[in-house]
Amino acid sequence: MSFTFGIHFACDRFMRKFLIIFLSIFFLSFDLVDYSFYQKDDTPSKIKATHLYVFTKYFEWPENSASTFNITILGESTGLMNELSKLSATKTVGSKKITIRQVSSLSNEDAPEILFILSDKSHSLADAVAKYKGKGTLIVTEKQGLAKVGSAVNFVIVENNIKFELNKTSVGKAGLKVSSKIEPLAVKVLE
Amino acid sequence: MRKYIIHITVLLLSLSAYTSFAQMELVEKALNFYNNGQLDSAKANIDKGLNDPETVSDYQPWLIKGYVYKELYKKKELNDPSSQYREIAIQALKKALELDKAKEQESNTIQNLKFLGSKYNNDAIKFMDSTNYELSEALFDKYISIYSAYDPSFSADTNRMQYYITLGLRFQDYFEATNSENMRKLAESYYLRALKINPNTKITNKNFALLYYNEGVNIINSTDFDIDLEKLYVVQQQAVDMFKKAEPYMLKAYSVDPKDIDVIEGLRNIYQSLNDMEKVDFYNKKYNELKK
Repeated sequence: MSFTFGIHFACDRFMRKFLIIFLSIFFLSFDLVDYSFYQKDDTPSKIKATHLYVFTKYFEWPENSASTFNITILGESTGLMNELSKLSATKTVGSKKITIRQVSSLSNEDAPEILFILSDKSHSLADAVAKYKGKGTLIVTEKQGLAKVGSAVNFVIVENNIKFELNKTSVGKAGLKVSSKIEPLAVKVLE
Repeated sequence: MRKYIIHITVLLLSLSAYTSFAQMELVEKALNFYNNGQLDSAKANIDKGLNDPETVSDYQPWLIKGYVYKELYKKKELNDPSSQYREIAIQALKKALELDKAKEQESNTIQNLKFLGSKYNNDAIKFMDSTNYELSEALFDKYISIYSAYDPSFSADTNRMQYYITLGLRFQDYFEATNSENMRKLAESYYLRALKINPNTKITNKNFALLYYNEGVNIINSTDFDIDLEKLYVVQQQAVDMFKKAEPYMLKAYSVDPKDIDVIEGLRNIYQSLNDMEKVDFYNKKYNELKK
């Protein structure tokens, strides 16, 4: 006795076709799903901007009647400007609104409370020191050795971390006072 | 009534060898029910028919059982990842294959096993999410087990690696969306498993690096401008640790494909975050050269 036995090929063939298409999309997608979502944020800029703001708690500027606290960046850094814009939008120094300015050279405008000289403008340090002597401008730099030649605060890299050196003499010459509480946080304090 | 016999490959069941007429009758009935689309009756008869010691040693009743249960799965439990019909169909087909010494139906049986195996893969893909990933993995293991056994061209390692990368990407997405440490750890664990299979895959290394890199960025971004300097230094070190973790994986991706602009951008970003400007300049040059 014999029997015929039907195997459901058409159904399975359809399913296989579907499966092949599905898997092709699935596996081909490995090239497509390549995760290219880089966080574009410039983390060193965030850290530097945070330092600049925190410095306002440790340094004391001469009294003035201005309603703004001015930070000037000498040099070009989009990342830093972005971070400082966020800072100025959300924070104040005492009751003063923070204003941010980016310049390519030292101008004749009023002395800012903080002048941050970016590394590619380091050659301007001597001029800045002379220009703002005694005017209550905290000069911040970011190049090795500049704390010794006039900047009050110099960012340095220590084991991939951004830290700072402090030159108390430069602070005094700038007409500023600094809290001794900041000294343990500096990698080097120059008298 | 649904016409079950759509494309016919004829299987001649020679049941005359059975000494027990009753058992033969049950198998025959099961086959007829099956061909008429009466699957529940087919199931009842084939289950009974396979109670006989003589029947169980023949591959054909097992094959019928496999087909009956496969159809029941398709009809009733296609969307059930824990389908018992599918499990039983697979066991029956495996048994049929084992007993089919003359390999009369080997090809068809394997084809059906692969069909059911592929369903495990479909389900595994369907359940690749933050709550069902363990179920997904269990289903994927079943898929791998069937295909490894019955498809000589199948590469379990390649498939596993792709599966782990996909899960890694999925959890990386969840991590980016929720900032959940658990999601990051799961992404990490799946990337590590993919790398264990092949440590030289660009996409795994690149995405693994990116997972750490983005974590470092998130750590910095989540700090407030008001933070104490002491705390800032702790946070900064935590981020640096993440960037350092990212570095070797991105370098490996670069060694695999030095022309991948995303990888070069990744290295540039990592070194920028590590404040290593010499290396930033190096990869920036490479980046600009490729952009030309």
